[in-house]
Formats: sequence, structure tokens, C-alpha cells
Amino acid sequence: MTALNVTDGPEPGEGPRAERAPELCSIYADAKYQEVPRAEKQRLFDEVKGDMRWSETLYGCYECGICVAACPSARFYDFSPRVFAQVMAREDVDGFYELLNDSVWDCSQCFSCTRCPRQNNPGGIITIMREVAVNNGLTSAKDALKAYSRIIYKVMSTGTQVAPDMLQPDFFPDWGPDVVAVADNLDVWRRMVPPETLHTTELAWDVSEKTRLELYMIWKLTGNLEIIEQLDEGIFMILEEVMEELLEEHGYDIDDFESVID
Amino acid sequence: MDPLPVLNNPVNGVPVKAKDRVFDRKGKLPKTYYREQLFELEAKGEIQIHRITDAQDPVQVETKFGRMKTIPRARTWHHKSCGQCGHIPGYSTSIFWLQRQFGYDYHDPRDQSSCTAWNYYASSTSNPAAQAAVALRNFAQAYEDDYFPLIHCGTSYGHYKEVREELIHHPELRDQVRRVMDRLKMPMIFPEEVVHYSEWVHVMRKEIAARMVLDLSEITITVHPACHYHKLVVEDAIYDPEMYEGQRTAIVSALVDALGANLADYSTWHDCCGFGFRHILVSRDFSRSFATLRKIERMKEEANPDVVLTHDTGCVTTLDKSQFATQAHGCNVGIPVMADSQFAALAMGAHPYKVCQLHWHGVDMKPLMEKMGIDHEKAWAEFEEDAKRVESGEIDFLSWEDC
Amino acid sequence: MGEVNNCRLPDDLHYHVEYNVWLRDNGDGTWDLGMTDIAQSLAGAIIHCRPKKVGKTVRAGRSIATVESGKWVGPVKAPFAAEIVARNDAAEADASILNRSPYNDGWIVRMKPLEGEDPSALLVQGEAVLEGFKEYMAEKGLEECVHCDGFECD
Repeated sequence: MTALNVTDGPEPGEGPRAERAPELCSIYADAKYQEVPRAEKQRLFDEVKGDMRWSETLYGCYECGICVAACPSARFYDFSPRVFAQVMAREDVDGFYELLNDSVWDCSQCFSCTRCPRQNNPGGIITIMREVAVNNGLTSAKDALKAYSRIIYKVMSTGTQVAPDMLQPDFFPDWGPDVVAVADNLDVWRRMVPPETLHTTELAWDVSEKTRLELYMIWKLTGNLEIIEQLDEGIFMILEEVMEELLEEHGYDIDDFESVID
Repeated sequence: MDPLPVLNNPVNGVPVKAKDRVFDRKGKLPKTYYREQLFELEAKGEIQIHRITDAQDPVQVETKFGRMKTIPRARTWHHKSCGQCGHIPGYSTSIFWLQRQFGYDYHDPRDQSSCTAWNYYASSTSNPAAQAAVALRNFAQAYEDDYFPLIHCGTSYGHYKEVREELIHHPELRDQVRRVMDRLKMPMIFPEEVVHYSEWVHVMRKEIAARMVLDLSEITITVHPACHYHKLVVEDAIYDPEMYEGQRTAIVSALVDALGANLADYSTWHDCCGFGFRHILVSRDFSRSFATLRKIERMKEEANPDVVLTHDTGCVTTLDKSQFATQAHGCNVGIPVMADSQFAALAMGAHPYKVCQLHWHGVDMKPLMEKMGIDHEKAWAEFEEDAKRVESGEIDFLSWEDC
Repeated sequence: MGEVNNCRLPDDLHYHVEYNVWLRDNGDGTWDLGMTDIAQSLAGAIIHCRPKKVGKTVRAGRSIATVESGKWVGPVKAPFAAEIVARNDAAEADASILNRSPYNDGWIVRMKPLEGEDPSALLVQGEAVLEGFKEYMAEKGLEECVHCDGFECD
């Protein structure tokens, strides 16, 4: 981001852009998302700061950059945990909105950045920002998660996140010939695993129906199903159906679960 | 233990020794202690604490700031890992196998869900209440089953510690979760310690070494510690003044030491593996680039190990699976990767294919097995023979007795 | 046999482009439904297909089956409200038939439209099919259809 030289050029709130819409003017000449109203950016910013975990994520940053040195994503993406800490500390709402859309999904969530001498948690800031992005149905969030959303269906519907039958060569071509071998021999090889709970191919281990039912109740009670509705209509549809069916079988009405989150 | 090596990045021409920056373990304890906080909440009637009793045959071990952590050895509830059970079944199997060798009673539940943290860190399509409810549902089940939770995955372990912090500090979250547990008709209960299976392996390392059937003195090993084990909520990671002079977590490294193998150091020991949660599934160019350039190649250049040992699902996956594609790019790769439990099992004579299920791994294990003195051809023939019995329908599954 | 960008689209069938499904008028008040060649190409190797139970009623736009491949999971949507009168158990047993024979062995459900529904008005035939799917493929970034060994569509 290039800051305007404050000795020449328009002041914030002045100049040709500002004439069109004063509230849009960022202090950065090349700021993105100028067309998004400042009020909307502020609303999302406030939502992040209003999260109950906010007070444990940022204690003031003196830009030492230790977090960047420890960060794996910073080596390959245009991403920096220090920038997140700085932008939030300075309450730079325009910068925040850019990060929320453009780089929040680059983070590896490894929490190496908690090496911070001030005990800040940029990874934690990012966790909250991502939840805000998803809850508000941001297109950038949907795009980032489009290829991934199948895992969401898997974990919410079966209770495990990856299954043996996901090891398919067309999904993991870069993982090598062992994937082909597994896919070709899946049924026999799974039967050749001694623990009884692992004799499965469609989910990681044999999850009981009781556990699935309890999970479905948790998704409803914590508003988790509604989060998915914001994200992917197709996944939401098939997930809601599978949940409704099991709940009905056990005498529950899916609409009889109010979220505990106010 | 040798002094730490001089690092490769001199400052002002003077090589910096890691020893010059010493982390002083004792004397400065953190002001708060999660155990005290948990018991305080229990005293106020806010949450019940699942205690480790003598039934768990527990043992104490030192953690980062010198406080002692209680590790259960018997009667544990095995909280399984999605990635292990799904894609690295030898990992889970080796954990069960080790416990069986020592005659420990354990429970392998069907009434267990994923911790869902892989999805949470990948997509944030959840919230603290859902995550805490999933955790507490598993813990309530373990309590009802009367076994103490033992966590198989590093991500689950770190995430459950995160949940513990959030529950301790946020009464509104406790209220939300309490309402969920009431509706599920399950108690609101949290274990007094969050214990990782590698901590079980750690406290059992001398017993494991005593039952070794292989000579590992020629095997060079590099260790990769999982970020979610020792970086997320740091205080209850195992540290030992005899390992790395207490400057790094002792987990896995202490096992290597106990087994008499050569523990080799490398400059990027502290780096993440590059798993990335979402990245490993849908942006794998990042994961394999990071794993290769920052971890595997460095290990190869600086230590040339026979095997990399780690103690987390994501780390095994990333370090192992990244090497195939990068080999095609001419990168200096080709180190087998496995879990501490798989390696310990092999050391005790476990079958490499029926127990450790090494055929699910990417990098070729045969040179390593040969160096370890394992007849892999005979082992594979035995595996195939049993596989034929399964295929023909003579047996439905390979049983523990067949191993 | 209609064809666009190596994708086969039999002339004797009806299609709903947005939902990427074909329908066959059985002449007895029921319609068979399945995934098109384009749909099976987009999905990749299909590993699971779970059609709805017989007797269930579905609204227009709702799912009649969940299909899962190596890289995708999602609903197969009904273009009109209907009752499921038959489901293809063979497709559930071996979902790869959806890739191999999408228009024949790979049928997914047989549906009876509810009172008041007019399927023909909602579906397209002929030239409109080819034009519609050409646009659809451009939108989804699919250059041409991919056919596995043993693919048939006669």
C-alpha cells in the first residue's frame, strides 16, 4: 500500500475521489475496495473486535517481525502476520477489509507467530476474521473454500473429516503411486487393519449413530448449520437432509433446536 | 547430550550459538496455572473435572516451566485421529499395539467424533461454542465409559488446550456450552490434563527400549515437533533438562535417545511442516514447497537421516506426501517419514505391514527397513498371504491374533 | 446424437441445463433422471451415489440424490416437484456407472410429477440444449468432456 505524501495531494476527505463520496476515501492512493462503503468495512471490523476472544489476541505490536520470521505462509504468499497485528492495532479499516478478502486465507494456522515477545496471537486474529468473513457470506470466503467444502460435508455428516476412499488418484495425483495402490486395493487393505473400528472405507472410523445424532444436535444448537447455509447452498441442502432424516428417525424435529448463541 | 550446533547465520561475522540465548525454565512460572483454574471452576460448580486415578497407573513428568504433568498409562479412552485412521492406519494401529504389548486395558470407542479442528483451522466454518461442545461431548462420553482420554492427534491436542483456555476465561462460553450439554443430557466435564499419546510413549520410553529386538545404533533420526503440540498453549508440553538442555521440547527426541539411535539436529527444527489444514487439501503447492525446501532438503543436507520421526497426523502426511512431486523437480528428497509410535513398535518387533501398515506411506521404506534389520520381503509375503485369505472370504478381517 | 465439445447429449432426452441433468419421458406419467455427460466430467471419478428413498416427495430445486467424487460432493436437483417411485440401487452399489453410462445404466431415480407440475415447460430439447450447455461449460471452465474406459451413451 502506498501512502499519499501528506505534504502534497489531497487530504483525506478532499480531492476528486472524495468529491464523489467523502466517506470512501482511504489514506492510501492505491487502496482496493474503494467502492465498498466505509460503514460496511467498519461494521465487519467491529464484529471482529466484538468477538469474545479479541482481548486475548492483541496486546500491542512493536513490529519486531519475529512472527514473520516464524511464519511458513509468509515465505510463499504475500502474507504477513505482523501486518495483521499492525492494521488491527491502528484500526485501519480499509487495510482490514483488504486483508479480510485477500490474504486471510493464506494463514497456515500453525501458531508459530505466538513466538511473539508481546504474546500477541496473529493466528488468533485471523481465526476470528475468517469466522466473520464466513458468517457474512463474503464472496472471497466462498471462493477460497469452494474446492474445500466437501470436507465440511464429510465432517458434519459423518463425524470424521477424511475417509479412506478419498485417497483417489484424480484428487491427489501429486502424492504418488501409493495413492493408486491404496485406491486399487482399498476394500482388502482396510480389512487388513487390525483395530475393529477401522474396518471402514467411507469414514475414518466406525462412528456410532448415537454420536452422529449428538453431533447433529450440536450443529443446530450452536448455529453451525446456518453458517453452512451462508457458505454453500448445495452442501447445506444435502447436509440438512441427512441431519433431518436421522433426527426424525429418533423422534426429533430439526426445527426444535434453537441456537444457544444470542 | 552434545551442545547445540552453531547456526548457519552469523551476525556481524560471528556465528550465533543457540546457547547464548538461554531460556531459563525455573524461577519464572506463569502467573496462572490451568489446573488451578480448572479446580477453582469445579469448586464453584461451573464444570466437573475428570480426574486421573490410580486405575490409570499414572506417572508424573516435567513440563516447560518445571511444573509436573500427570500422564495416565492404563485405562485410557483412545480419542482417534481422522487423518491417521483414514490415511495412515498404521499410525493408529501402532498406538493400540504398543498398549497391548504392555497389557494395558484401553477403550477404542465408536462413540467418538472427530475433534473437527482440522476443518476449523482450514475453514473457520464453526464457532467457539460448537468447537467446545464437540470437545465436551467426547470428554463426557469418556467419563461415562470410565476411561481417561488419550488424544491421538497433535491438532486435536492443541485445539483441546485452546478450548480449555477459552472455557476457563469466558463464562459466557461456559453458559452456551452448558445449555448444549443439558440438551444432550450429558455432564459438563473436562479432563484434568489434556494428554497426547506421544506423552504416553515418552513416559514409556525406557520400558519400550527394554523390549527392543533391533539394534538401532546405526540409524540416524531427525525429529520434527508438531506446532500444535508445543506452540499452542506452551506450558504443558514436556521439557527435560537432559534433552536440548531444556531449551526445546523433549517429546519424540527423548524416545530416540532411549532407543539408542542417533538424534541429528538441523537448522529448521522449529519450523512448521507446512500442513496448513486447508492448504494440504486444496493448495498443495504451498505445503509441498514448504515441506521440501524448509524441512526435508535441510534435513538431507545437514543431517542425512535414515528416517524422520514426528508425532502428529498432519506432519506425517505433509512431510511424507510432499516428496513425490518435488522429486520430479529434482529436489534433494527421499527420507522416509513415520510416527514415533510406528518406529517404537518396529523397534519392539512389530510387523511392518500388518501392524505399522507402511504400505500406506509415500517414501520408500525398504532401505530403512534393511538398515534396521527387518526382512521386508518376508514381511510383505506374510501380509499378502493374509490378504488372500481376506479376499477369498476365509476371514473377514485381519485380527490382532494374526499380527 | 447431439454433441458439443466432445460432450454427448442424446437427442431423444429432455434436459435442465442449470441443474445439469437429463430426463426421459417414460410415457406412463413417470420420468427418469440422471447426470449428463458434462456433469460426470465435472465431477470426476464418482465414488458414491445415494438416491432418495422410494416414496419420498421432493420440491422443485431440491435434491433427489447426493453424489460424491474424489473432489466434490453435492446434490442432484429435481427440476420439478415429484414423488420418487423408483431408485437405481445399482448406482448406489457401484457409483462408477454414473461415469461409464450416464444416460442408460447410470439413471438415478424415477419420478412422478406432482399435480400441477408441467415438466416439458421447464426442460429443453434440441438446439437449445447444445447452446445452453456450451454456455454452461464456458461458465464452469470445462473445455471438453472426459470419458473413462468403457464409456457408452447409445
